[in-house]
Amino acid sequence: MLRRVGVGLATVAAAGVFAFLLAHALPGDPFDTLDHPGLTADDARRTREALGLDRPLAAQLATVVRSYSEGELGVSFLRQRPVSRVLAETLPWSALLGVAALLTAYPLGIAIALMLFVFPPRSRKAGSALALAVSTAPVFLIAVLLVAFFHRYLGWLPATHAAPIGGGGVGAHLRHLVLPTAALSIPAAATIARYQLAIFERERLARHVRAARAAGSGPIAILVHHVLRPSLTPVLALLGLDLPILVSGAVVVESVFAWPGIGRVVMEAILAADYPLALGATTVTAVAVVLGRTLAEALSPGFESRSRS
Amino acid sequence: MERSVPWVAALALAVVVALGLYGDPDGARAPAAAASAAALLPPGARVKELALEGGGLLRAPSLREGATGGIDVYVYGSWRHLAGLTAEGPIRERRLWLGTDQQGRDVVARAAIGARASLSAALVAALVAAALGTFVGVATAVAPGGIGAALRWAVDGIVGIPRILVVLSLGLALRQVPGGVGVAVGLATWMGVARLLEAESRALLERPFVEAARAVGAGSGRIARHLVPHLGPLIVAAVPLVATDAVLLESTFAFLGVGVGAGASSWGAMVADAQRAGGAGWWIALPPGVLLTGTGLAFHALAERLGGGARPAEKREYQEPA
Amino acid sequence: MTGRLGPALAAATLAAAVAGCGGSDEPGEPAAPVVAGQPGGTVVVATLSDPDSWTPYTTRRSSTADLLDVLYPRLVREDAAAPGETFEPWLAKSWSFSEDRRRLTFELRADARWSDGSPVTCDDVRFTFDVQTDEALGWAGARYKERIEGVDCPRPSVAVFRFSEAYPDQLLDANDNAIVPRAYGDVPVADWRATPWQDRLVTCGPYRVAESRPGQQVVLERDPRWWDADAVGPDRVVLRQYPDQTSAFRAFLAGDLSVLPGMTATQFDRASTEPHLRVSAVPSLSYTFIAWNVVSPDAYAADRARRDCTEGCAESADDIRRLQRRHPHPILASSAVRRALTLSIDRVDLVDGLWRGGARVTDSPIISTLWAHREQPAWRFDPAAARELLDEAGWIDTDGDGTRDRDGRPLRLRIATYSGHPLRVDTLERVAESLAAVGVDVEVVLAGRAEFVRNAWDRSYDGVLSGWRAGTRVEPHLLFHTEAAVDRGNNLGGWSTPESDALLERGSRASTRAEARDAWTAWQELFRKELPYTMLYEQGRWIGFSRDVVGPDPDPLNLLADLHRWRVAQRGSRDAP
Repeated sequence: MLRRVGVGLATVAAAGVFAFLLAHALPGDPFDTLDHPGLTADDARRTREALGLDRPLAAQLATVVRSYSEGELGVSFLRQRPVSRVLAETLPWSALLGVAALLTAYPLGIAIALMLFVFPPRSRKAGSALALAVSTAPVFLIAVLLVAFFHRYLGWLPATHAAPIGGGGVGAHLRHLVLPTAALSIPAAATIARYQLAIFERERLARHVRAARAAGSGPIAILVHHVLRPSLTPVLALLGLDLPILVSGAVVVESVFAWPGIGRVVMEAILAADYPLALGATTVTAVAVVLGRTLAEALSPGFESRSRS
Repeated sequence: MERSVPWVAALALAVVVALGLYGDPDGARAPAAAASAAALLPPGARVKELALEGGGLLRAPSLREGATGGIDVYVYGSWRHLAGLTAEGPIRERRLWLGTDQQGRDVVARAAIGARASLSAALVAALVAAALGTFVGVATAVAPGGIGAALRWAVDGIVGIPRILVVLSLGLALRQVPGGVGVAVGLATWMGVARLLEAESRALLERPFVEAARAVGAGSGRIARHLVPHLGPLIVAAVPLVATDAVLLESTFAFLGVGVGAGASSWGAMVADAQRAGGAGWWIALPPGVLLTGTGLAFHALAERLGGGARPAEKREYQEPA
Repeated sequence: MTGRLGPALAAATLAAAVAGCGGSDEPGEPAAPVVAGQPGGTVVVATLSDPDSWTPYTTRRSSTADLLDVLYPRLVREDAAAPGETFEPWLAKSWSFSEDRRRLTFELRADARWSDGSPVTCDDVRFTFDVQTDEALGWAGARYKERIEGVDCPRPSVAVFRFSEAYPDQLLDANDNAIVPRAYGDVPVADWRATPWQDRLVTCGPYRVAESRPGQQVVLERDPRWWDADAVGPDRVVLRQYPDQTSAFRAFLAGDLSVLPGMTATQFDRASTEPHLRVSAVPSLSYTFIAWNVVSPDAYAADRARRDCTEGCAESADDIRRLQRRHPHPILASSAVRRALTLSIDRVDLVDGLWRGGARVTDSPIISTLWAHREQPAWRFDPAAARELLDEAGWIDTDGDGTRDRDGRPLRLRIATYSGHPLRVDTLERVAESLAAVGVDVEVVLAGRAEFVRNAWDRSYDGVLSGWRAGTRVEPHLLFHTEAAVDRGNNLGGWSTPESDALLERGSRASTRAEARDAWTAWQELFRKELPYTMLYEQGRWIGFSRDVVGPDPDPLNLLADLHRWRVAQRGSRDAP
């Protein structure tokens, strides 16, 4: 256990250092603005000096490490607010969208797989091909199509923001959640369906299923007891791998739907070279990746060995 | 998987490649003057085209050479005289099957140029990811204790960085290099290959031939050399998967318009353009939408064929969102 | 800082990324009649970014500055119809100059109250001046305070500005920027940028902040303490944030928005067909240009590296002159070539196609609404003449590859713009095609924001396509003087000549308008000959309104300035769609 924590911390630290170096490889920073003729490169340089950004990279890294070890994530250049606060404002929204997407994608994916599994082979093949097409289509394309159909053409659902203009109750929030969730979960469900279908097919051939059939069990009973139940564990393990989505946010979906989550913040921070914010967000993502892997391994003790063999 | 899908997919890929190779680069260019005349023409529109002396072309529903030199173009309900332009050749008439975009470019021709950009980026990315992934994956498996563990942590750490940060920073840094976008995308996607190959290498390490090599005192480097030939099929199968990923990432960045991506002719940029035109330019998104999905499908089918059977658990790792 | 202070490079502001649209020459539609509607209701305005800060002295975005101008009072308000010339009373009831024009006295309203209940007094005015000029903050507008010696407070309701000399823009300088409360003084100025002001806002305006949800919306509500609270129309103003212009337009069509500040040509066409919408053309006081780099980018970078300038060095105007002389740009140092490039671009089509005529072709960086603008005929689109000029300059296509060359060097230019501004990206793509038609090969560089600004300052591009939001001041010297090219200044192309410098100095230091006008006229004539910029257009802006909003035409300086004068018909929920 202790070793696992140590490995996790090392992983997070590695991600942080990589991110720090990458962020500094980007040209420019938010103090470089051509907003006003009086605001020259000289002013930007003074600001940089005040923040210690003119020092050597190693010294800056040391400062960052020190302040992180004290639990201090710094102040965002772009938003002029503590990074921890920006993260606290955006994380819950990303988590909400992520949970909604996972809660939709898994049941939907498994249901589709089940449906395809009981279909005659010909329809199963067609459905499987369609699932493949959906799982390989870019998320932004799916998002654009959803907006065009459900928002513009049918006029049923809002396409931006997490809440209506005047604020609103749970119902209004749910309506705003529908399209972003759909855009995230449809391709994921297609992937899960394909995966699950492959497992079903393998299980159908498995010896115990044949034995059960020989013993005279009905098809439904076989499906539930001998196919569905044993094959769920590996799918649940996948859930662990999907955990990072909850916090790293889905950049594209959040951008298209103006969702106030962390994904948009990350992109904004990177584009504006807002190092403290980019670094803070990266750290959070890395923690999620580590937790996700741990969860995946814990949920399915055999998972590690299976995925590695 | 079913038989027909690989064939359909191969056909789709062939169409994409052919489009990229034989697409009309002139059609993808905006008119050199009076571009508004040809802007946002619907699918099936007929236009007249005229090559200009010195380079460039004109494209408009109505064009004529001026009585006293120059060229007249019909723009917004009236004829506009463009002095200082001379025709080089006759006025040709053309039908644009999928219309034009805001700049008066032929949508089909633009999609063809996009095919070129997308596929070349994908190819470069796939090669970079395969090479780096193989190297790190095998090294992680065979390197002695501490180094192997350190490499594994490093890979996990890199997976923890938002991909957008990796692609943006490297993409911007490498933009001047030909194929730089592809390299950046490759550097953002190799971790899956590395994990896959590490697992496979570990399995191979149990095999008798490795034991034999160890027995005669072979070092890590030598063992790795023994392993690589056995990993060949897996590496080959991974290449199309990374390529799919690369096509998606490249188009996503072009769609977001953040300065990384194959530029104006990228498929992602075309979808963004269609969105920007509102309902007025829906046809601009047609070819990129179909082509993006078709290419992904084709690469997947290819991977399955090459890999000789599905390995969904591993493939899942490629599906992390951008 | 604010857009009013001077040209604000709209490239850097997301607001302008969208908002730079519209028409100035031809009014789109007659203004809606102002009807005496009932006060109350909600106005929803689209924005594209969060406020980045909550004081005018810590923000870097002009969109935020516009909002802050609603929350904090200025002494007087500028009249957009005659920028820099006429003013209306605001926090100051009246103002007067002393005999020698070196003392400017403002009589403040007695009934102005901050939202914490304390009166707005001369102390606040003096405190604001101290903040503005504090080195620790480094406010960019401090340059406008250089000739102000101090602010005296003989009585709480009287503020006296002491000037070191008399000059035409004294009132403008005293009035920049909004007054902030003395109560903010408990935070040391050095810490202002890292202070979360939204937790402790003290404001004084028709509206105060009711709610601020990052990434979503800012809600303003009427402030009952404001001096003219009875005259305020809408009860609430929602600044709804959209991720991009496209989704904002979608919301506008669906009827979710009362006001859409800026739209593209195709969107204008679309909105004009909707009976529930109207579109007003408003001058935007901004222009779009390509700045041509007249110094060789490689030599410039090498020279600065040699002098150890990457993080600032003692660069002087002489360094710039030496670089201009010794390392001229192999293509763009020639004014004949710059003219050829200008002649090759079909600017009329840009105005037609991208602006539906709602823009104006110009060859002066002093825009036509300013008093100093010199009316001159713009260069006409004439590729034949352009080819002749290039031939004469020795650029001929000797190898028949379609690109001209000279001494083995192809006529190739790297022109960059900010990738997040679709209209400029479109413009640059069209420019590239137009230049290709005369044998100039253009490499289009679409750069991210921070990268674009950094490289533009470093002069590593051959051309920079961007825009300035021209202010109410006439200050081309900030963009074209040799001093402005020093140390990565805003003279983006590095162009200057002794003649131009002399005229710019005369214009900016003139003690009367008439004297200044002479200098600016001569300078604009020189500019038209030299063309350090290819001016693309001076744009207007299309503002979309839903029919249920009526009120005065929007103020070109700040769309939000007249919010309180609008009236909105009551309706139900505005939830989409």
